[in-house]
Amino acid sequence: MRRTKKLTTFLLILTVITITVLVHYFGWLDSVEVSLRTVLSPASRLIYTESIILKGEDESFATVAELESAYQTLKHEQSALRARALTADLLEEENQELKRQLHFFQAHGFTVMTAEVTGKNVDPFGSSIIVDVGSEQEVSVGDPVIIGEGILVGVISRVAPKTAIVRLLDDHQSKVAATLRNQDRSLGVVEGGYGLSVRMNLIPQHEQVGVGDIIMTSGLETNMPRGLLIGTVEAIEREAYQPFQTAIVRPSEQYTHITIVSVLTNGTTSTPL
Amino acid sequence: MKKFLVFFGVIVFMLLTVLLYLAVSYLFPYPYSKMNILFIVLLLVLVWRQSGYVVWMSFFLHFLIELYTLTPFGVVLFSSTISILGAYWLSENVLTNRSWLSTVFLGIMTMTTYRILYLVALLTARLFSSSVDIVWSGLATTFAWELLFTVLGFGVAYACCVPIFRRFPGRQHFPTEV
Repeated sequence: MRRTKKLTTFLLILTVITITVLVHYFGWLDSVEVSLRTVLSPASRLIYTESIILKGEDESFATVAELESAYQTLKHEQSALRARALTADLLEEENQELKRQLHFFQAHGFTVMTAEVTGKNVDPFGSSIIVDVGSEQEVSVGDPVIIGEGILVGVISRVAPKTAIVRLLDDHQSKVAATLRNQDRSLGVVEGGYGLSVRMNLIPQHEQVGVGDIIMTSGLETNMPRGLLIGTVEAIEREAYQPFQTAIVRPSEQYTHITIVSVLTNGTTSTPL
Repeated sequence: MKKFLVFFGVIVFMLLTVLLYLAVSYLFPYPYSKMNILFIVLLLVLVWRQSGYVVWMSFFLHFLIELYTLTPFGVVLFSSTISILGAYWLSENVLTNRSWLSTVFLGIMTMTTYRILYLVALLTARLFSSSVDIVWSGLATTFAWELLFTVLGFGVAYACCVPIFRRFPGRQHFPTEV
């Protein structure tokens, strides 16, 4: 008797969950979900802004040796950078002129939509942020999301009328076709891992990859232009018996400090949540 | 009128719980941010009130959380609600003793069930959508941090709340010694 009651309860709850999921996918819950988001968004935005202020740009080191090593690395980098600064100044002038001529985004048919980050992922297994633009601004699933001048941080993954969720590059389901600025112009796929790491996989074993090589988008997928900066190679994992090698990626930006992003939209029809 | 006030109070409590969950996720550094405040609160309510309402609370709380996650809709809802249902049955039939150890064990069992069901639901969703992917490396680390901090948080919160639970008991009798 008691077992039957338990089975009934279990089936009842399972039915309610199934109905809720089906109703969601049919879009009949849209108004409820939009209302709930509207209620929670201001608080979420406030908490997120506070978290950015509180976390700041602090970096922590576990040991003194680690700090010393970081300091030495920085000193070397600074010397190299000084030497390159002069060349960079000249190149910058040239670059500004070229950029004006190139109209990079327009040439690809992309429009840039600036958005504010209002929250971030709460699932411990995911890594994403919520932005305040959505299908009403012609943002659609798959649109690249950048910061600064072309640093890729993620891709639009879900779209609601006024908001969208950006899957960051370190999310475990993130996959972006990428290329290395090495001699071979190696191709591969940049994949995330639970907010803990970013890796570039499927790099052919025989190609030369070096620490510090720049990684950018290859443009071999829909909606994603070539040349968006992803990061640099931090380490290489190579096994003799494997057909491919893997590069550990140091992203160009810390994804925990993003407040403003730009979405490269192409005006295609969006897929609703 | 009283029923309406209780209902309103529960709604406000649930919204505040979600905000607390968001605050911990946003403000705490890794790995402390992996602490699952929703489960801590739900388990505290469960051991205090020992009522099946906690399952429906879990359903509504995780429905709100679904709005902030990237997993296919229903994965979090299913795994959390069923694991809290399991926790309710476990606390009613097996772990009836309200000692600190048995309560913490209840927390461990619930979180483990939750993540196992989460993976099962994700694998099922993968059958229907090619966009769902599971990266196994890092999964165990993330789960371990979540389990550790959630159970620790629950253990500490339970120890602090026992005097309150004893003063305002639900259906459950609380021992004088935790």
